[in-house]
Amino acid sequence: MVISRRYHIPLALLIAGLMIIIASSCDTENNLKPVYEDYYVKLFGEEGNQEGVDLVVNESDQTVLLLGTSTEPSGSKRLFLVKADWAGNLIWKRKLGGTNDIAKDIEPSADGGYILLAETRDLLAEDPTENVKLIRITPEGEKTDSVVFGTPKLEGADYGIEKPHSVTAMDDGYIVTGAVEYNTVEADGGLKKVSYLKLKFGLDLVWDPGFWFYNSQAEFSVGVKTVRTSDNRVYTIGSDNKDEQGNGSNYNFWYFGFDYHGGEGSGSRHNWVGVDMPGHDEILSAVCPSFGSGVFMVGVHNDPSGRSDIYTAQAAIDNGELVRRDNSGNIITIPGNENRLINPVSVCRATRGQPGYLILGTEGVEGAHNMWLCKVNVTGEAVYWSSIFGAADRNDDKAGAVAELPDGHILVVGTVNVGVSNLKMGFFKLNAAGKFATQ
Amino acid sequence: MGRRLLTLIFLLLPASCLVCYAQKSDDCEIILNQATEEVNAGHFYGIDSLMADCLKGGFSREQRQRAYLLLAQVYLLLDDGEKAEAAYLEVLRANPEFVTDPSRDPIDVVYLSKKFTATPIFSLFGRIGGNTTFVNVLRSMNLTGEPIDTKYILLPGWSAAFGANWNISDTWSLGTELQYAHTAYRKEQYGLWSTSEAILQDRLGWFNIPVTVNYNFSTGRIIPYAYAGFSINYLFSSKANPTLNDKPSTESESVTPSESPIVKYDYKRKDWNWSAVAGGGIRYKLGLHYLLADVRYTLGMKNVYDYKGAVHDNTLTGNALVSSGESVFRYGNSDDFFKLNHLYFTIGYMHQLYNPRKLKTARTGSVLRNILRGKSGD
Repeated sequence: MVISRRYHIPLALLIAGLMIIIASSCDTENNLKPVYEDYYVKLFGEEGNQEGVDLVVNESDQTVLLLGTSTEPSGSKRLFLVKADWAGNLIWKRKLGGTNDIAKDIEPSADGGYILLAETRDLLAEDPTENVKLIRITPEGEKTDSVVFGTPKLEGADYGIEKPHSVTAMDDGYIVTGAVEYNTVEADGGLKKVSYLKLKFGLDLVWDPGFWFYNSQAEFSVGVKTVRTSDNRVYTIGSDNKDEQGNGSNYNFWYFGFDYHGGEGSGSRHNWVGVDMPGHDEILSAVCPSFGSGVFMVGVHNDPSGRSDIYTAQAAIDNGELVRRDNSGNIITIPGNENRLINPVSVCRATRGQPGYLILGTEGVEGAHNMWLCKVNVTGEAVYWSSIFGAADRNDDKAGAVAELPDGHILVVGTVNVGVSNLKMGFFKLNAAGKFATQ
Repeated sequence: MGRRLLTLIFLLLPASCLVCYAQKSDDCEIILNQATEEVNAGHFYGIDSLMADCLKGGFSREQRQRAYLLLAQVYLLLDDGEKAEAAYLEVLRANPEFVTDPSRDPIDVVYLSKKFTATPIFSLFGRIGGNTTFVNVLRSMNLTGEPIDTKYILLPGWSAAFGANWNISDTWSLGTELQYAHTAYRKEQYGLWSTSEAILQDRLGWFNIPVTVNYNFSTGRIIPYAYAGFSINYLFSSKANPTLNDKPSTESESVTPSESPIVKYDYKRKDWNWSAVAGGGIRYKLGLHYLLADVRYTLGMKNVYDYKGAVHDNTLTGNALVSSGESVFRYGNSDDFFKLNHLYFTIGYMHQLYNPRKLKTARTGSVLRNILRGKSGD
C-alpha cells in the first residue's frame, strides 16, 4: 500500500532528523575527550610485590621515572624502575640490583642520567648487615656503575647497620644521608647507638673517607637529607633528641653543617627547631628546597596525649650557612582530619596557582592506611586543601613521593595493596587541587 | 440453610441469564430470518420496526452485523442514504473487520462500504522477554600499562514494555513504548601483572523510550513486520561486584580470590544515552487482536563510561572513610570507554483500538477493477 502523499513530508523530515542526530552525536574513539590523560590511577607491576618509593619528573621529554622495590615470589628483592609519560602510559619497566635491595631514592645525576639509592644486604658477605648501594643509570635505565658501601668495623669489632634515606646529587658527586647503628659495640664511649649517616661519593662512586657518620650525642639520630649551601658547605638535616652537650629528652628537627671538602664541621654550625618540652617530639620525614633559598622541612609532631600532627619548619641559607628564623615550627591541623594519624613521607614545592608546598603522607591505622596529600602555604602554617585516596579501611596503601608538573598537575607514586596482599606500584595523576578530576 | 440458598442463587443467576440470552438470541435469529425473507420478497418497509426490539440488545454481535447490513441494503433501496450510512457504520461497530464481497453483497452496499473504514488508529501493546548485551569498546583503558587479554561475556537479561502504535495506514505506523530493561555483561581480564585476573559483572537497569517507523509486509492472520527508529535511554541503575583473583606467581596453582559485595556503579556510568533501533517480528491474529513475537537490536550511540567516576577521592563520613575508588584500589578493576548494544527477544499482545468512521473521500476506484478481476473486498 502506498503511503498517502500527505505523510511524505513528515516522514522525510523524520528520516532526515534521524540521520542528522546519528551523524552528530555518535561517540567514536576519535571524538572521546582524553580526560584519561588529565587524571588517572595506574598500577604497575608484575608477579610478586612491587612497592613505589620515589619519582623524578623529566620535563624535557615529559616523562617520569618511578623507583620502587620488587619482591619476587622467591622472596628476593630488586629495584623496580618504571618509565612512564605524563599521560600515564608505561614506556618501559625493568629490574636492577642484586637479590636483596630495597629502593630508597632516585635523583637526577650531573651526567644526564640518574643515581639510585638502595639499602642492600648480603647475608653471605663478611659484612652481613644492611649496607648502602648506589647505582648510576642512563636515562633509559641502563646501569653504568654501582657501589656497595658498608661502614668499616668500628673499633675493630662491629659492622654498622646502614639505613640510608636519601641521596643528594651534586656536580662532582653524591652524598648519602641516613642513619647508622651499631648493635654490639656502643659507639663513642658507649653512649650512642645510632648516628647520622653522611657518606660522600665522587661521580665515579668512590667513597670519600672524610664523610662517614656524625654522632650528635643523641641516643637516636636519623639523617633525612643533606643539602649543599655553598661551595664548601653542606648541611645534614634530620632529627634526634639531644643537644650538642647531650642534654634534652625530646626529639626535634636538627641540622648540622660540614665542610664539603674534608667533611669537617658541625661545631657551632648546627641548630634545632621544634617544641622543647618533655613528651613533645618532632620527627623529620622529608625536606625540599624552599621558596627563595633554604629548605622546607616536614615531619610529625607527637604530643604526650598520643596525638600526632604534621609539623613544618623552614631554614634559610645566609652566607652559605643554614639559619633558622627561630626555633618554632608549625603544627598543621587538617580540618575534619584531626584524628587521622598522618605520617608525611615526601614534600615538594608547588609553584602553580597559590604558591606553597605539597606534602604527601600515609594516613590511618594499621590495616587501613591510605595516601594523604595536602597543600600548605609558603610559610607552612595554613592548609589550602587536603585529600585522601586509597582503598579506605579495606587495605593498607602507602605513600611514596610527590611532584608537581609544570601545568600544575600533581604526580604521586606509592604502593597499593590490591586483592588480599598483592602490592603494586601505584602511580597517580591528580589535578592542582589534589583531586581525581579535570584541572 | 440460608447460606446454601444464597450460594445456590448466586450459582443459578448467571446460568439463568445465559439461558435467557440464548433464548432471546434464538428468537432474534427468527426475526432476522423473517426480515431477510421480507426483503427478498420485496417488502422493504417496516423492516427496521420488525427488528427494533432485537437491535436494542437482543442480537448477538454476528446477528447485529447481519441485521444492520440488511438495513443498509434496505435504506439504499429506499433511497435513504443517510440512514444507509448510519446502518453501515453499525455494521462496522459490530465487526470492525467486516469487508464487503461483490460476489456476495449487493453492489450498492459494496460501494457504500467504500465510504467507511474501521482501521484502528491506535494499537496498544505490551511485551516481555529476554535480552543480551554486546559491549562495543571505544577505547581500552589499561590499569597496568601493559596489554591484557580482555573478554566480554554475554549475559542474559530481561525486559518488559508497553506502548502504542499510531497506524498511519494498513502497512505503515509510528510506534513508541516505555521499556524497562535489565541488562548485564561480564568483563574478564587475564594477565594483570602477569598472574592476576580481574572480573566484573555489571548489571544495568534502563528505562528506554523507543520511537519507530513500522512496516507490515502483509495483512491477514499472520503479519510479518519490520521497524526502525531510535530510542532515548535512561540508565537509572548500575551494580557490579568486581573480583580480583590473585596468583602469587605464574607457576603457582593457588588462587586467592577477593570479591567485592555488589556495589553501585552509578557514578561510573552516564545517565542518558540513545541508540538506533531496528527489529522485526510476526503478529498472529487472535480474534480481533494479535499475539506478537519480536526481535530487536539496539545500537548504542553514546559512551556509557563516565570517567569522572573512575576514581573518587575518599571521603570521611563520620569516622568512617568511604572509598568510592575501592574497585580500582582493591580489586584492580578499570572500565573501558564503551557503548552497549542489545538484542531483545520478546513476546506480547497487541490490542487494536478500532474506530469505525466515515472517510472524507470514498475509495470506490478499485471496486469495478476488482469485480472485473474476480477479486473481492478492497
